[in-house]
Amino acid sequence: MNCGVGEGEGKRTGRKKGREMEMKMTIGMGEHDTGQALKVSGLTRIYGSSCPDCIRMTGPDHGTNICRVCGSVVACADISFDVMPGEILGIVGESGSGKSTIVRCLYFDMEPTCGEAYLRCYGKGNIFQVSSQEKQIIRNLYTGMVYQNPQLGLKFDITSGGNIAEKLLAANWRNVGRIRERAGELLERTEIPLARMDDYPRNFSGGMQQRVQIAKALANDPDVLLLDELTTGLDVSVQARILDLIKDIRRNTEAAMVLITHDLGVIRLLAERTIVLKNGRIVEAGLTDQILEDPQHEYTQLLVNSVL
Amino acid sequence: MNTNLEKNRFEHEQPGNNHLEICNLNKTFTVHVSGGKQIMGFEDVSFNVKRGEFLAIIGGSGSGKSSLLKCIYRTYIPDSGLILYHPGPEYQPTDLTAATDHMILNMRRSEIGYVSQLLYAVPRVTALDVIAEPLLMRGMDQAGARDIAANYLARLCIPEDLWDAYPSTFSGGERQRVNIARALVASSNMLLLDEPTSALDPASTAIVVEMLREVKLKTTMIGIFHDLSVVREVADRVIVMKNNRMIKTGTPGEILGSSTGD
Ligand SMILES: Nc1ncnc2c1ncn2[C@@H]1O[C@H](COP(=O)(O)OP(=O)(O)OP(=O)(O)O)[C@@H](O)[C@H]1O
Ligand SMILES: Nc1ncnc2c1ncn2[C@@H]1O[C@H](COP(=O)(O)OP(=O)(O)O)[C@@H](O)[C@H]1O
Ligand SMILES: [Mg+2]
Ligand SMILES: [Mg+2]
Ligand SMILES: [Zn+2]
Repeated sequence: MNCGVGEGEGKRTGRKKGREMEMKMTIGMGEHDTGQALKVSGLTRIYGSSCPDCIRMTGPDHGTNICRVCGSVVACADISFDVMPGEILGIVGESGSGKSTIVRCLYFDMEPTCGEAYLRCYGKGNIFQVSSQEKQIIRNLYTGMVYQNPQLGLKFDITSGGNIAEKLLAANWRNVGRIRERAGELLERTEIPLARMDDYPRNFSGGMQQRVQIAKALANDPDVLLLDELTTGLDVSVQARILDLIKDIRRNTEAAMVLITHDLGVIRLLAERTIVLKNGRIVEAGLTDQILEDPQHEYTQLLVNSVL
Repeated sequence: MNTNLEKNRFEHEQPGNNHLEICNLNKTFTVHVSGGKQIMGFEDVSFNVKRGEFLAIIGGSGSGKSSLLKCIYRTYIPDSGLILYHPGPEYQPTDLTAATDHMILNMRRSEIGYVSQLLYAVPRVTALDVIAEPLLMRGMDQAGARDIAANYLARLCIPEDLWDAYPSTFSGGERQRVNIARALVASSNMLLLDEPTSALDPASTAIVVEMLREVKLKTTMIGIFHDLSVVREVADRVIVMKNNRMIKTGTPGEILGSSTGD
């Protein structure tokens, strides 16, 4: 489907010159020259009937993501980015800017209106185009997700160990003893007391629920981890421990992570690169220190200046 | 400025000799949140840095020194101009103003280090781990890395009971020494230092100066200093910034006069 979105560079306002040099990179590549773990291009998701004017009538220039002609919501449009193995990409933007929509499309919780996404570990092309069976495989073997709302990521009437076992079973683990052992390891790694393995997530604190979600997301040793507002609404000491856990994951795995947050402190601490979203569009993308210290777009400047 | 550049080119004829070439670099800030106000960072800056050279930048507050350093590190995006980084004789130079974010991140891992003027401390990481981290990333084992980190902390006179504490609770001077040690162990080929001795007492300054002189043999350095006696001790060449322009360059002797006239 043609969404009427321009191709190519997207909205990388930060770059003044071409990127032909990418290919000529000669130094310092080390182990990182193996290509992007995740590459997304032109991802668009429209809620509603949609009309030919939806894209043109929405976006930061119009200050809205609602099409004036047909009333559809353009949750995100023409979203392009990539993430290297072992890298954390931050996504920031105000509430409603389309952050969750992006990761939920990537986790196949919803279908994009159009766009492409490629995983390095899955060499069979655009993952939005494959059969639902293949999508199951991708989800079970290669990706992990931590939802903004733990109720979406966990079954509250199944034990925490059981929640993790589900993901392991989906990833073709069969030996019950080893599944239990692995679930125990994951809970230990995410600092959930083993004694709580047979307890239900509904009895857990918000911080513990997020940690069980992380344990579950890590179960299949994913190549791509999608983290949606994983510290929102938690008290600061609990937040700190979760952020340290993410750093630990970065140190010990090669997982590429997409980290959604509205907390610029979290971005500064964790993300090497950041994209800024407004009204469903990327208004700026760049190195995190550049985004925070030399923001180019008006909205980014507003965002950075709003920090208390 | 152009003629200056030509002259420099002529002076260091061997092509592999330059580590960094900056040509007609400009930086202004457009503050959209204040009605599009333009703030000048610096304009029309050109200079070369030879491999192994220590270049000091001096000049008044607001003259554009930090902005210049941050443009090289690409924390700031310059408006126009070139920043040619020469990795070595067998490689093509990279224009840092046009490099992709991934390229810059790779450069930061191995080629270019930076010590900020702000005494930033990563929360919840001990002083030892802050310094050991670059070594661990290069594949050194935990024990070896912490050993080297401990040596640095001892040499920089950080009291031993602080080694396992968080630098976010440290004094400004202690924090600055930890940040310098981290940059030094990373052993990048080029180091950008923004007032690395500004928060230090004379004794720690002397130690840091000695360490900078040691790494100078294998690292090219560009440093901003207010303390001119430090400039005399470490710099091979000095650039003077004034009113957001580079107004002079020369040896410390030429720029600062004889050491008695401080
Ligand atoms: N991120 C920024 N946004 C807007 N203006 C900036 C920014 N960074 C620097 N400037 C402005 O650019 C000019 C140069 O600043 P810079 O920090 O480079 O000065 P400096 O020479 O390092 O000064 P000091 O010695 O006080 O640190 C100043 O007018 C400053 O206010
Ligand atoms: N299922 C849905 N139906 C209709 N509109 C939706 C739906 N989900 C999200 N939206 C709208 O899409 C936009 C982006 O939402 P979302 O991606 O959840 O934003 P964020 O995560 O940045 O807060 C919002 O305007 C939201 O109201
Ligand atoms: Mg959301
Ligand atoms: Mg400064
Ligand atoms: Zn429409």
